Amino acid sequence: MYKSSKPQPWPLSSSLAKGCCSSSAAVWMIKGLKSLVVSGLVAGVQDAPIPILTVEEIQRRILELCMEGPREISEIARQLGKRKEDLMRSIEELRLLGLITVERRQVEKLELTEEGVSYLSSMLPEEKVAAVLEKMGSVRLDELPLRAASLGLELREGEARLGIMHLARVGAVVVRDGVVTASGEDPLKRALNEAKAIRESLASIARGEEGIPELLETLKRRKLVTTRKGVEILVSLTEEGKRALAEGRVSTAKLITTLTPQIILSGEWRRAVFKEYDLSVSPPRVYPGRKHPYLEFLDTVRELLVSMGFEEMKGPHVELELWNFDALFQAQDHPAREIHDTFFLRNPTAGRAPEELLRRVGAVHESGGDTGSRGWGYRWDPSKALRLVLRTQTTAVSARTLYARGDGEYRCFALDRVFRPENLDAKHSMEFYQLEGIIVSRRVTLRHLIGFFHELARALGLGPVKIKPAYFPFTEPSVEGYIKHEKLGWMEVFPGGMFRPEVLRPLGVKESNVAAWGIGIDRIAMAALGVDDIRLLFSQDLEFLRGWSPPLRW
Amino acid sequence: MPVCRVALYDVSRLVGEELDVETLSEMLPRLKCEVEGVEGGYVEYEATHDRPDLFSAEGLARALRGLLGFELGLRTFCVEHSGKAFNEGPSYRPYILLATVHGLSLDDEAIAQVMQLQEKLHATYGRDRRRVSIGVYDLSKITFPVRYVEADPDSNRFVPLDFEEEMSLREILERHPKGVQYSHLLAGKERYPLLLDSRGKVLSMPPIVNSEETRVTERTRDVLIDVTATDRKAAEDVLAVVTTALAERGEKIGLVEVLSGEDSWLLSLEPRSVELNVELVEQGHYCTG
Repeated sequence: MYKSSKPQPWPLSSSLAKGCCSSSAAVWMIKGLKSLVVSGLVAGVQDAPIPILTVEEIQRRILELCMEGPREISEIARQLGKRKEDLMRSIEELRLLGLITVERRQVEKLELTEEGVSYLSSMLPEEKVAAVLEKMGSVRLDELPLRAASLGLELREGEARLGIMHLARVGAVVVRDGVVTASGEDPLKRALNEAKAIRESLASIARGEEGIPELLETLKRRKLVTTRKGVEILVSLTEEGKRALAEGRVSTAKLITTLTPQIILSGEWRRAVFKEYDLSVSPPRVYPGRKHPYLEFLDTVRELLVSMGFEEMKGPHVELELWNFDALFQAQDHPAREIHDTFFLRNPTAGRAPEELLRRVGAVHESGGDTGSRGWGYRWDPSKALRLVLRTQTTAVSARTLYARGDGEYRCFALDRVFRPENLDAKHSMEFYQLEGIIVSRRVTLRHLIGFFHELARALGLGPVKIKPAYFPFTEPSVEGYIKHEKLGWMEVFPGGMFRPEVLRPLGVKESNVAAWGIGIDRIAMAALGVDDIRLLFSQDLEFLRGWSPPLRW
Repeated sequence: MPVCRVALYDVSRLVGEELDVETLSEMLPRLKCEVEGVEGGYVEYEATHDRPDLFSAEGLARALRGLLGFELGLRTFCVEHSGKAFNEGPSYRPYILLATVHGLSLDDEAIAQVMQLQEKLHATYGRDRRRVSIGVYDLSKITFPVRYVEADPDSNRFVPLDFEEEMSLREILERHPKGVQYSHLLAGKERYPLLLDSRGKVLSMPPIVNSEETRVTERTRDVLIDVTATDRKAAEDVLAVVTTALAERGEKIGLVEVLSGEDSWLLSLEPRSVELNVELVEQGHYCTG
């Protein structure tokens, strides 16, 4: 804070330095009064110094505009040729100086609708119809547009109906047997007068005025104007403001908020007034960009699996039934393959697959093929296997991977979306994520799978796992892993098992065993992110997303 | 997967030991079943598709006897020949298989369990009766041999379950609740499936509804079971499940010889053998052969 009229910036260097360093100096709160009041000496009044208020040029002009009475900010902005937003800081500073008061008011503003705007430059429909009737007395409805055209008026069909309606309402016309007739010159004149008043009203509202008050209801009913809620900011001088202006105590100076080398080199700093920053005021919160918490969660899970030796596998969303069902030994008349459990493609309906694979899968379904199984014992239809669906399970990706890579020692996982016709509610969605994987090895056994579940649960911070025997069409034996939820008790989250020979042999896996596992990833995400509605996982509400803390720390 | 409901006292008497809810809740998960709820002496659980024998109290009790060590080894049934049937059914539902169970003692709960088993099998293996449908009848009202035929929708009439008046087959599809519900299975067919006894008495109109006269009640001692199907293997499996389930409440199973043209068929309860590699089991594979 300056103690004399002569600017001496150095004592302020520490706070200034901070201000300079910040690239967003403008967002720091300005302490206002303290920084802007420059106590000085007015010539000849040495004994009793009267404070001189130093403001920016723009602020002075704002004060001057308000001298005649309160002004709305948009009007001030128009007068100064500035945008409202750009004046807000200046006005706030003036308010802190005690020179002005700022009043915010909720206001309803009239605004022309699209249709309302269109009548600024053209006649109302009833005027066009009336123009035809003035000329002809009566006219057939279907001839109206043509007759209007002969008068040089464009009258579309909807417009003609609208125009007749308005005229009929005030008794200016009657319609009988498809012919519209004017009721007389007077009613028609009255209707035209009203139309004229309506147009004048519209023009007045377009200029920001109020129009003709009696017509307002009519304009609203005809949907020519609407009201829009807005905020009006009214600026008025305080008594102190008026006095300061009158006494010539308001001077202008260039205020410097950011110290640059140029300002120092040019010596400009000697004449400049620096703004002081109040470091006790917290700056507005700045939200850096971040990943959607659900995606962040999924990526964390990906990293975890990669660290456990898994590679990510990908497959198409639009999938052959072959990969989604048949290769997984799901019988062709299995209920899950029906229309209410699977989305089918309308166009195209079918795809292609290797002949040899189709033959092998078919043999397994019909009689077990070379697996020692008895199969399902029905006639397998290859054309059904070639139909296209939105994949219902990521196991389709596992099947593709096994077919592509065959025997060996590898681990893969898929973390991707699947689709099922569900009714959207807090627990169900027609698209959701599945996480699943395969462990391919000559030595892998069910015990390894169970061990993997324990390890994964530990890594995800899910606590102890309980295993129970289960059934899935493509694995034998099958298990289900449960984790304990604080409120819900034991929750089923890990299905898994050893792929059946009926799955492996046709895909060309002959010597390896495959432990297959899945995870109810949406369920775990809901638990980890603390939400109880599956739809929130896909929320795009910024306020809500900012409130989410980073998921899963380990 | 089907959710089934059993009464603790019923399972107890079938097992032959008094069971408590805790034991049942502990054993069910070991049979791949998930306990859904326990209420007033009843337990609800979800069974898996590969264990249709667990869709009702009878099969569950059989499994529990083994699991609890009361009866180890393969369950054997007393079996004898009981009758004959002729299959002259429609080509769109070509298979019918039958068996009988004798010396039953049934009460409300037992009948509820038989109905539950039928319903769950219809919903799963039966593909909502399209592939397989099951009928159970009071055998004392029936004289062998029975005939499965295709019949004219208008000239054949009988009193369907829960009704007092005779209706033609067509009327049943239009008016009987089950007829309305399942009429799509016979849509566009000129002749409908019908099961008759040797005196021409109607047993049922598969896969829609049984006759009121042959209804199974608490007084029923012997039953006839029929399974009509579009898939013979599924029909065999379903008949075996229903017959052996009822046999848990009776004394013996009766085999019905089904003659269709040159073919003759009898229910087979022969066990199937699967080779198991003990070494792999010990390694933790539990691999099926």
